Amino acid sequence: MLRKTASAALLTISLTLLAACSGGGTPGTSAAAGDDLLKLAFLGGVKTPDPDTAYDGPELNLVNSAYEGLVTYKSGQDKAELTAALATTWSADPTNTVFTFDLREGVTFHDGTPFTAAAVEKSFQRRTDVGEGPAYMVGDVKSVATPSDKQVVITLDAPNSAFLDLLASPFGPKIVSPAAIEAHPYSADGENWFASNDAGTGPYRYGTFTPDTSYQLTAYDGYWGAKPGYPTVEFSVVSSLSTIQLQLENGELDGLAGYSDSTTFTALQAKEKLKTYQFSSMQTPTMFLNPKSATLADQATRLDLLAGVDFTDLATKALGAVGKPATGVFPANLLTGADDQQKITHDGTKLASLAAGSLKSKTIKIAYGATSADAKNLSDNLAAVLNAAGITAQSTGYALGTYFPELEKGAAGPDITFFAGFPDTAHPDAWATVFYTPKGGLDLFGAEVPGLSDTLGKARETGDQQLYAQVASQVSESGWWYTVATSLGTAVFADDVAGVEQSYHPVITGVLNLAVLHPAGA
Amino acid sequence: MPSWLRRGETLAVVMLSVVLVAALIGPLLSPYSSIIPSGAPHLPPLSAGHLFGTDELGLDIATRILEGTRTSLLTALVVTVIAAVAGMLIGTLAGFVGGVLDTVLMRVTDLFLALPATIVAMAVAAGLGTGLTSSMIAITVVWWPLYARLVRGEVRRTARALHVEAARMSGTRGTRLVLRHVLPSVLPTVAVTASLDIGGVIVTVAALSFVGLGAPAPAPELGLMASAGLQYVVNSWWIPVLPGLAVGLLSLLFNYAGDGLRAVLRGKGA
Repeated sequence: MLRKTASAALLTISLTLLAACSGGGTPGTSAAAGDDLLKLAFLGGVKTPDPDTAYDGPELNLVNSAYEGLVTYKSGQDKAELTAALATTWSADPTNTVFTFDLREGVTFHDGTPFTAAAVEKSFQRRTDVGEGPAYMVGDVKSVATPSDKQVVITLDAPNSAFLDLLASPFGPKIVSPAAIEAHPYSADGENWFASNDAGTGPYRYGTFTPDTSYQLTAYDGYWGAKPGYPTVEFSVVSSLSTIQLQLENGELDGLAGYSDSTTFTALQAKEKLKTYQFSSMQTPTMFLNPKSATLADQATRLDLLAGVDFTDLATKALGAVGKPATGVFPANLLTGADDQQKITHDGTKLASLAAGSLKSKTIKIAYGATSADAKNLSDNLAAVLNAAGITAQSTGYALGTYFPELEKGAAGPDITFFAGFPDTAHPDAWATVFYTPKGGLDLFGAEVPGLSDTLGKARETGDQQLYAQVASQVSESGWWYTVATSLGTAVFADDVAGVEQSYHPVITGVLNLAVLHPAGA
Repeated sequence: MPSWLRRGETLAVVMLSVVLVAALIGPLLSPYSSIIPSGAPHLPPLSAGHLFGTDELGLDIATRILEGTRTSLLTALVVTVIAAVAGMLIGTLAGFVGGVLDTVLMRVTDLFLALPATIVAMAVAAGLGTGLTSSMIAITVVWWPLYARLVRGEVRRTARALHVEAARMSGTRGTRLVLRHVLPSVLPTVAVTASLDIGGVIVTVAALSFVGLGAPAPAPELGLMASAGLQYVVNSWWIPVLPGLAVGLLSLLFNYAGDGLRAVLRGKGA
C-alpha cells in the first residue's frame, strides 16, 4: 500500500513538473511548409462540416470556404455590409415579403455541374429536410420561383426585414449542387456524405478529412472569383491552447483564428515572427439573472446589484486583451449608440448596502459553461468583486451536458450565469428574439418582459430602429440581462502571412475568409 | 534516534509537523484573504508581498495553498476516521460472528473492492452535487471496504490467540470479549493503515476537486486551484504547479510518516 500510494504521489509531482516544463509539444512535427501550405489549428475538434448542420462556429472555416450563399457580408470590416456572392443583385418588395435575386453567371460546382436557379430551391429544400438548428433561417420561405436560370424570386409567409441578413449569416443557407443532393440524400441515422465531401462553389474544396485529427482544404481551380492565396490550407486538431501556443512559437503552425485567452494572446504579442490581430465582433458576453432566484427575484435588489458592479472594470479585468466593455444593450454595430444605451448607472455604494441588507447571509451562485473562457473569467471575477464587498458568492463551471439542465432548475439553480453568445446574423432581431424571449432558445433562465415579444414582432416586419431602441430600454430596465462586454476576435499569424486584416468576419469570432490570406509579398 | 526509525521517516515526521502547524495557524497569520484579490494578477513567485505569487484573479497563492492544505488535511482526517470506524464495525462483526453474516458482509465488501474506487467516488459525488461534503461522502463510500477486509482478518486471527481463549474460558463473552481482548490487538494495524491512507485520501479529494466535483470557486481547494490554473501553465506556471506540488508533497509526507509509525509500532512489538 505504501509503495503504491507513494508512487502515486511521486507521479503526481512528476506529472505536475512535466506539465510545467513541456507544454505538450509534438516532437518531430515538420515546420510549416511555406507559400503552398497554410497550417492552422482547431482547438479540440469541430462539428460536422455539413453546410446544413454546421451551427457551432469553428467548422465554418471549412464550410464557408467550400460553399457560398446568395449574399454574404464583406470580410475585414466592423460594420456588417451585404455584398454579392452567388447573387449579383437583389431587391426586396416594400413589405419585406418578396425577394428577387439575379444570379451570377459562369459559376460551377466542385462536381463540375453548372450553377443555375434550380440549385437555390434544391438547397433550401435540403436545409428544411435536414431540419437541424440553422433550418429556421428558411423556415418562413413560402416559395422559391425560378423565372429563368439566372433569377430566383423568394416569397415568405410573413414580412421579415431580417431575411437578407439571414441569407448572409455565416450559418446562412449555402447553395449545394443538386446532383450531389440527389446522389447523397441526407439521413440522420446513416453516414453523411457531406461530412467529408463537399459540393459547393467556394474557392476551396474539401481535401483529406481525418475527423478529430486534421482537415485539409485545397483550392478549386474552377472558382469564379480571385484565386486563393494558398493552394492548400490544413487544420490540425490540438487539444490544448498551451500546445498551440508552443507550436506557433516554434513555427509548427502558421496561425490561429480565435480561441486565444487574454494571457495567451498577450504572451504571443511579445513574440518575434508572430503578428497578433484584434477585430471587432458581435460576440457579446452577457449576464443573465434568474427570475426564480430567491435572492434576485426582487427587482430593487436586482437593479442595485447591477448598479453596484463596476462592469467596465469587471470586463477589463476579466477579458483583458480579448474584450472591451460594452456600453449598449445590443451587440456592437447593430444599432446606433444613441438608440442603444444601458439604463443602469454605476453606484459604488450599492454593494455594501446589499451586503448589509437584502443579501446579508445569502450566497449568490454564479454559473458558466466550462468551455467558455470568457464566461469563466467573468464569473470568477464577479465572485471576487462580490466577496470583496461582503456578499458571499460562488463561481461554478458546468460541462456542456450539465450547464443548460442546471439553468433549468429554477429556484434550485444558479442565481446568475454568464454566456458569451453572438447573433446568428447582423440584425437586431437575430439577437433580441433569441436572447430576450423565452421562445428564442437562448433566454437562458426564461425571463420575460411583458410586451417585449409584441414589440419585436412589429420590428421584425419593418426593421424600425426605434422599436429596437425601445426593446433595448425595456431589457435594461428589467434587470434580467446585462450586456457586459464585446468579445474581440483574435488571430495570431506568422509574419509571413498577409491579408489577415481583410479576412475577419464582422459577426462571429474565430472564422476567417481564408481565401484572402496570402504569403507576404505575393 | 531509535534504530527502527530511519532518517528519511524522521525527516518526514518533522516536515509533516511543520506543514501541519503552518496549515493550522498559517491562514491566521497571512495578511490576505484567500478569496479576495490582494494584488495584480499573474504576479510570479517571490514578488513583493506574495511569496508564491498571485493567480489570474490576483489572489495570493501562498494564502490559498495554506488554507487548501488545511481543508485537505481536515477532509482526509474525517474521511479516514469515518471509513476506518465503519470498516472496523463491519469487519469485526463479520470476523467475530462468522457464518452467514460473515459471508454476506464480505460479499458486499468484495463488491465495493472490485469497483474502481476513484471512478465510483466521482459517480457518487456527481450524483450528490458539487461541494466538499459531497466529496467526503463519496470518498468514504469507497474507502471503508479496505478496513472491513483488514479488520475481519485480524479479528479472526486474534480470536484464536491464547489470551482470547483464556478470556473466553474465564467466562468473558460477546461485546466485552471483543472490546477488551480482540480490538486492542487490531487497533495498531488499523492505525498504521489509516496513517498510510491519509495521503491517498488527499490525492483523491484533490482529484475530485480537479474535475469540478469539489467546492465551487473561489474555495481554496488544491485540486480546483491546479485545475483552474492549468490553462496558464505555459505563461504563469506557478498558478497550477504550486497547488499540484502541495498535493504531491502532502501525500508523500503522510506516506513516509505512516511508514515511520509502522516502524515505531513494530519496534515496540506491535
